Amino acid sequence: MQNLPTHLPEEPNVFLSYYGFNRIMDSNNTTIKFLKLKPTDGKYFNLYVANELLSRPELPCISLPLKKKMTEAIYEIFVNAQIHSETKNIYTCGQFYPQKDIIEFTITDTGIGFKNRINQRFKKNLTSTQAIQWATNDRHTTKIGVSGGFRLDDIF
Amino acid sequence: MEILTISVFNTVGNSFCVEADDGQKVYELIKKALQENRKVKTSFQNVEMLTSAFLNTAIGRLYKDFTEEEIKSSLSVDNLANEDAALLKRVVSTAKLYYKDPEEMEKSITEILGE
Repeated sequence: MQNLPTHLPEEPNVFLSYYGFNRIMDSNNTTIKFLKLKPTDGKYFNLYVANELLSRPELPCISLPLKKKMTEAIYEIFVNAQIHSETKNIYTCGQFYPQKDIIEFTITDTGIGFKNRINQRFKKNLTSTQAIQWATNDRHTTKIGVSGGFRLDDIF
Repeated sequence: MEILTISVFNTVGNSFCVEADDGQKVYELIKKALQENRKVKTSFQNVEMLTSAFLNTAIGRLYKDFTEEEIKSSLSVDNLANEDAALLKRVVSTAKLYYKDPEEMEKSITEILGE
């Protein structure tokens, strides 16, 4: 982030304020604020999702079961990062686009990635493409002694 | 025989049961009860959110320790929402296959590599 140009606009979702830029008011109330979490901060992530996403009136009108499934997918991604990535931090933020009825929501980790995780587990030498192909298949998991591996298949 | 009710909400202390570590707490209680040959009812009352990570650990892992027959005859679930019941069903069928053939993961890696 050291090379960011200084003429970048001020922004409302807090992300750039971590790097010295001024924060502006979210006058449209459409941002889901940037959050940096430890993988152990699952309980705080729950609060964040509840307050920043689920309880927001800006959320498009969707059925309750769909809302629940959408939320479940968000948790699955967070828990995946928590269990598999060996990341120090998990980053999340988002944006509502009410006129387009779209929500963009991002969860990012800076961990070891699919390839290293799978190659470490099975002592093989898969490429990144092979690793992602393998991981997005139903019932494929790197966990030892615990079954799993089907939600990534669903999400993709 | 008296049925032991295990409340998932009380065990986790939260209505959001999403983390594998929380699933582990439920797993340990159920496992202990089944080892003592007790009948167990797992209650999901007041649980708002479940993930596969939670259920894989809380319930799926039991298939490593007990046979399908033992689990079927001694474990029941209660107050589980329809959509969560579908998720649990998938967790259970995945666990049965996983523990039936623990080498399958290695085989699937070999297939991807074309070895």
